[in-house]
Amino acid sequence: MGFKSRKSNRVLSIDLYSRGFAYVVMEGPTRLVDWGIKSNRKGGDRLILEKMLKLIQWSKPEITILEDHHHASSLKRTRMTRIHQLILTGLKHHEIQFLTVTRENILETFEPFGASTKFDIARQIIRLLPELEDHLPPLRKAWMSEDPRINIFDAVALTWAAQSRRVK
Amino acid sequence: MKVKSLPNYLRMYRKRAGFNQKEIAVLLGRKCGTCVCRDEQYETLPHIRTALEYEVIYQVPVSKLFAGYYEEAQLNVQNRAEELIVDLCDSGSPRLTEKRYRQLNRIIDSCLPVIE
Repeated sequence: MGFKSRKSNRVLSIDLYSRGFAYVVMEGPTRLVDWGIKSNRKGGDRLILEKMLKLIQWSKPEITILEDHHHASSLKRTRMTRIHQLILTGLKHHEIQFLTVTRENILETFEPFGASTKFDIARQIIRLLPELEDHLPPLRKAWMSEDPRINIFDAVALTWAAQSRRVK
Repeated sequence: MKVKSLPNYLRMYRKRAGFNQKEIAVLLGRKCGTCVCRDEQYETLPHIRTALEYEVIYQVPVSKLFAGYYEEAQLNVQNRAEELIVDLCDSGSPRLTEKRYRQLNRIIDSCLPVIE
């Protein structure tokens, strides 16, 4: 991609979805340390925060990146915004450094590569991170609900958008 | 500034290789994936034999698999090497031969492994 390598930083990016969250831990823009989905079907909203804190403890990131759900460009629903707020409060309480990135920032980052949809962005990501190839869900049709695996790519997009914003 | 490495990168290399914990446990000759999980969560430090088996499985040197522990070990040895040089110089020991001096300096100057 067109931005400078920031190999030294370990970042954790978290993308919330209705049943939990997807995450990636990266050291620089192309070194994936860990990735996955944490589902929260049976637990309450607080359990999401607990799982997140456990992940932060494991990955020891310099910064945690989340999407800014309050921004007009965000596609998230009201419940997600509420969970997001709960998480931000939790992170502040535990004095964890975090950064929020808007959906607009993500689209700006991927615009030069002609990627404007989540699926296009995911395909661009796979070009640099082939280890994620197995996680790419099939192209979503209008009648299909969103596959949570796409949120892993959203989390990578958050990292790259945050890094490109910091490099500018 | 380089960020401190994680104690180990077992989970990263396992996911890259496309295995699950149970499969790795089978390759390590264990009954279940719990021990693999504990190693990956830094709850246990694997035995040298297991560490070498991890190296064989992932085809990655132990120093890279356990980068955090390696950096810690390297720092400790570097500090001790500095102390040893000072001790040997102070005592005027004939044991500090050119060969030993070079080796100790090599330890002190050694760089951390480059993370791919």
